[in-house]
Amino acid sequence: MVYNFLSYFVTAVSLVFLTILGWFVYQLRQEGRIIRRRSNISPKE
Amino acid sequence: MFWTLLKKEMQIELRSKEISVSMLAFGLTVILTFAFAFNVSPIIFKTFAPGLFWIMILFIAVLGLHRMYAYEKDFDAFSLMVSAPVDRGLIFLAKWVSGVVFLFITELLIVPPFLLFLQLNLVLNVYQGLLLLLMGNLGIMVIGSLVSGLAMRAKMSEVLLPILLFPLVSPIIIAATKATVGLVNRSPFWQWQIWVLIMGTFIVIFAIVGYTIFDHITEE
Amino acid sequence: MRFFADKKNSVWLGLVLLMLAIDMWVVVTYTPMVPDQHWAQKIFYVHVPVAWTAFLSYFVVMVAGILFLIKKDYYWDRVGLAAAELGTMYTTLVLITGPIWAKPIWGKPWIWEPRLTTTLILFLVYIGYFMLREFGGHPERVARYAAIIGIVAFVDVPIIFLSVKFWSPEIQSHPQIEMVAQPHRILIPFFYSLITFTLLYIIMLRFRIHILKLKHEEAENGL
Repeated sequence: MVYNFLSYFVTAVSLVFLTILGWFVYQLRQEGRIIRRRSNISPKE
Repeated sequence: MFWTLLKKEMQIELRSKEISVSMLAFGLTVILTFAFAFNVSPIIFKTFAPGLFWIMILFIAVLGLHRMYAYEKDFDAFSLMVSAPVDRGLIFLAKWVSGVVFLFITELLIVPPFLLFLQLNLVLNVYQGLLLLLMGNLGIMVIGSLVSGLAMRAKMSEVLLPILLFPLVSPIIIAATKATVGLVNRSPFWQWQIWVLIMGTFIVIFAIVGYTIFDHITEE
Repeated sequence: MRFFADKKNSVWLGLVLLMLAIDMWVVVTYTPMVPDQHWAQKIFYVHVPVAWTAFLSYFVVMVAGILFLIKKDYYWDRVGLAAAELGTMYTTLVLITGPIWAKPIWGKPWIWEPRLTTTLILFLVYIGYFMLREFGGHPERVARYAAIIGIVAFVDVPIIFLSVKFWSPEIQSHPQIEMVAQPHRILIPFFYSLITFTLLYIIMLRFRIHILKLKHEEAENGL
């Protein structure tokens, strides 16, 4: 019973943190892409 | 000015009868579907008839709202009206009140067949019933006029309107259904007055919000 | 300019990460086991702050909407969009962790409890919000319409909550109601968790606004 409850706790908590982590990774990659695009284009201008 | 706008809505509808006829016809087909889908004894059916009734009204209202704003869009009347020196809040109020009137007329025509075809043998307090219909209409239409103003010019307006409207209007659906249950069971008014009060609160709040915010919907 | 190149932001994030680590450590080791609920009850140290953040975020959408309509400054449109995105992400987490927590405690994953129901309804409204953002047509109009939906949705919250509360009065088993009576070993970690998640939310919101600004600049300069 107790271990069963522990699995609920672990599932819920890891879900929350993995989602937030995933969000940060996604945003960082997006930011990186934009900045890379900028530095590629600006020298030609 | 408000009366002029309201008269305009009424005159268009009187001439074409487009909105009320489509709402009525659609309502009848919904009743037919209910009758086939819930082939149970009238006594059992009576327990969920209030909910089904308001589902039907909600569907009818979406159809009516769609018609109301569609002809504005067809003739681009909206931008003309908006360019006129009118308080835009009044446009909202006229749309709202006319929507309530159309829906109310349709309901008066649709309640008898609803009771007849679904074999509901009810003795109702007529005044309370009318009050309830009116409150429900005011609530559905106050959000409805606001949201269809938003959805009107979007690409998927026919999808967007119900998606935005149904969750926003959920307090009205809960309250109207609960109050109708009280009405059908002939419970004394004080037992379900809370639902009428909730509807009243909803109507007043969104009437004010709509009046102040409609300016930004019509702005070009 | 990268967001975390600014020292203030990276310090903030580092601090939040440290606080989160302490938070989890405290929740796992320090907080008492509630009889009959054990570990399942501890979900609430995460679930409630996430729910609080979701509502805070939707509140930000409303404030940003009002400011956008008054000032016509696209900064506020970006704040509104960023908060709407984050709010919806957190709301999704609430709607998932809620049933995970409810299953062992109430015996069934979903109960039409006022808070959970209000969250679900808001979530549905915001699906419409993002559809409008996507299909609304002219960008200037979409920004205005999105602001309006953000305002209307949040104004609706108390009425939804109230009507659902009266609709199912038998369901009152949300534990926060008896919060006042809880021992400090529960209360202090709970409020610490609340603060931590709020700080995390603020840095996330600012990060997202920063990226939306970069995107906006890119679109404007045709880069």
